[in-house]
Amino acid sequence: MGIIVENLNFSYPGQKVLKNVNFSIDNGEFVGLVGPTGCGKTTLAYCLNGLIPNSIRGKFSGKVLIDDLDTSKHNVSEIARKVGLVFQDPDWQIFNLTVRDEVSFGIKNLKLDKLEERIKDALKIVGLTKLEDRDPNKLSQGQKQKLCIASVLAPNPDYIVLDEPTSQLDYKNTKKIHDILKRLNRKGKNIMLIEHDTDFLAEYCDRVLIMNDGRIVRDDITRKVFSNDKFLKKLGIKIPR
Amino acid sequence: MDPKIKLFLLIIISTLTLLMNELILIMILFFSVITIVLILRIQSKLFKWIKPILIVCILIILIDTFTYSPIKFTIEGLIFGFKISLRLLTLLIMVFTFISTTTPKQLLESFSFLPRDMALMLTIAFRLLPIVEDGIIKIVNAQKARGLDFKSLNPFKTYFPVLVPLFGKTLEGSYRLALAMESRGFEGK
Repeated sequence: MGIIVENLNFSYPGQKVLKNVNFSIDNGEFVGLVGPTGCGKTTLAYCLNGLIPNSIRGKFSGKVLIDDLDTSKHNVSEIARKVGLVFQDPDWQIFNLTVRDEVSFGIKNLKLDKLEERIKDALKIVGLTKLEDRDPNKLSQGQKQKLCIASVLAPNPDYIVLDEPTSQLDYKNTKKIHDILKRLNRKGKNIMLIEHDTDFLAEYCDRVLIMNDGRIVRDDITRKVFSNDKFLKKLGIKIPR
Repeated sequence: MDPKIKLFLLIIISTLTLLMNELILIMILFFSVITIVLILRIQSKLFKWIKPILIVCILIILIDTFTYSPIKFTIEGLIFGFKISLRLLTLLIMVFTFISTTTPKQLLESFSFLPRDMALMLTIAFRLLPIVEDGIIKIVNAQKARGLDFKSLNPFKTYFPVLVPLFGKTLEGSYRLALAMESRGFEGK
């Protein structure tokens, strides 16, 4: 079980983005993904959630297996039960009238039971319990990102992929989000975090993948990946302190 | 009052306003709507909002008065223009009263009888307005910081540098929102 990516290639019309990507995520792992801007990290995240090849057009080849479920043979809503995807900008994810409605959106779409219990649990994990009836537009940026995580957590997926969830947050809020992710990982969730800040990756991840020009160029335990300063410098990746 | 009842009343009065042809009946409707405004004490807000429309109404009356029978003053034209203006005012005052006494949340709840997809569509449209507005402010400030003169009378020089990035940003954002919804299992069926 786990996530297995085999010989994955993807091209948007006129632009090859992923080139023979291979890696796997085993159960209970906290994996970081880092790489220069435009190297294909977001596209890879879309592949893990099934948005590629189901919703986004392009040339797709290879295999992405989520617990033996082939993403090219199942629709996004089936894959969404297993993989939750948190995007970068919360303003373009949140649209409901209350925090509660936002969290319940995924549960209702996937027609899952125990609606109330799931909402309460998800909000408790991210620390938004008392804000259940609030207008999401009136939350702080940090709270909005926590809400996005809660809404992805509510259907209880085993895998959570986060695409630079803290890029708009200050240090304090970034740390809070990463602490939430670490707690989730300890509870058994598999996390894949796309992040530019290598300090956080070094502190939180068990394993780090480095991506460059559509390829995975390093895949190893965090300490080993970040020990090669010369290589990191060459790719323009910040050397963790 | 329940927003659904308010919406129902709005639809009924609007339909009656458009269907009625007798001046006396249109006037009864107009004064009923004005009475509601007075009871709710929103007359000062309404007056500010409706001032430019009053000018349009006067123009309608004048044009109809002198063009009902080609280029000649006619009582029939005056009455016809008056009826059209009263209808327009009744409709707009009703819409104003509905909007100003209903919060966005209630407004959206009043659409709850619609199919889920349609209600979602309206919710998203309302929710994204402040984000788009925020985008406009940011782009205007950014262009001002780069020396764009908004006092220039040439619309290509003033609006183009705002509208082009705004459309780009809004379309990209909407696409991301659609992906985010889909990734949470929304199928739009």
